[in-house]
Amino acid sequence: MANNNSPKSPDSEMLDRLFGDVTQLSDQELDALYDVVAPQEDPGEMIHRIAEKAAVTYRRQQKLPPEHVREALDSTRTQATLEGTRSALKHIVDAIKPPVLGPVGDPSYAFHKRSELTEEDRRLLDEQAKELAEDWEEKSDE
Amino acid sequence: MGRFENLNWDRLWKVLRLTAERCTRDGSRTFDCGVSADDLVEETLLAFWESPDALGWKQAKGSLEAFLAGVLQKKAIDHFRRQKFVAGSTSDADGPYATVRAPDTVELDAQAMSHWRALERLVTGHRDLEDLVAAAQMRPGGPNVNQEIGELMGKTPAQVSKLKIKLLAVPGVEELLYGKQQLAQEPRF
Repeated sequence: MANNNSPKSPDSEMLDRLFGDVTQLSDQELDALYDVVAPQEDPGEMIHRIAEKAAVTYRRQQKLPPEHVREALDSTRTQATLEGTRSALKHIVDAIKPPVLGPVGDPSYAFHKRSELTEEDRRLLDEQAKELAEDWEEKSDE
Repeated sequence: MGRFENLNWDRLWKVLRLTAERCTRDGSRTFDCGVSADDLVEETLLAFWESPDALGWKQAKGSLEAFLAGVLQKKAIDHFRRQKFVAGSTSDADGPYATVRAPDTVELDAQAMSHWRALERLVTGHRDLEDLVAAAQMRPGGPNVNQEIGELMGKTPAQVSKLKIKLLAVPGVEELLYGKQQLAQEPRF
């Protein structure tokens, strides 16, 4: 492994030049990078788990967890009645919420950018709408 | 209001996780007998919460994110130092004896150039992203990254920020920046 005095690896140098100091990143940039590094990790869950561990240490010493531990626990406490449901739902909602930001070729992705529908997208949409209408008509005839 | 009220804990976790990833990026995935980026974050937060006075952090010292990122970096350095005393094979390219050879800056420069060329190839055809990559290489290297890149590109920092998110969506860029293996998944854009 490289020692701590060695020059930065090429990819670290590239990250620095493109993104700079992590603490200065905007929320959007931070989310995008985090999604690359740890897409499956729920920050709230992780914080809560570690804060709970610290709280247990205090309680074992017959002490009340201090303010910074209590704040972390309170802020990250899940309120779902079904255990784990909130987290699973959050993953789904988070996955579909962000807008499509890159150039797209597949119409099914292009639909997220409603303001940028191409003529081809429109033609496909119209065709699908027509097909759907025909299906409905067939069903109502039956 | 308490100094810990309204803290964005999710953001703090993300900042520390990315800082840890950068610290360990120059080394192997784990070091000092199996310490990973995840472990570094956990170690840092546990030290912070198990300290009754929050490691002495006060708002006057700057943001908690920056403070804890500094604590994490110090912990990483401690682990790297300890790693030097962990015995290993003399032929292990990642082992402690590998550092006997002085870092070859010419080789590293060549690798860095090759990484930038690879990034340029990935964004070929996207004019705005080509400009972004060129500007990132040219920027002076100060703390205001988006400002510097924006000045070179004639764009606002907010526009630069959006371009960087667009850059991450280009297939192959994540793998180049973080060395991740391409997973079989739907395109992200």
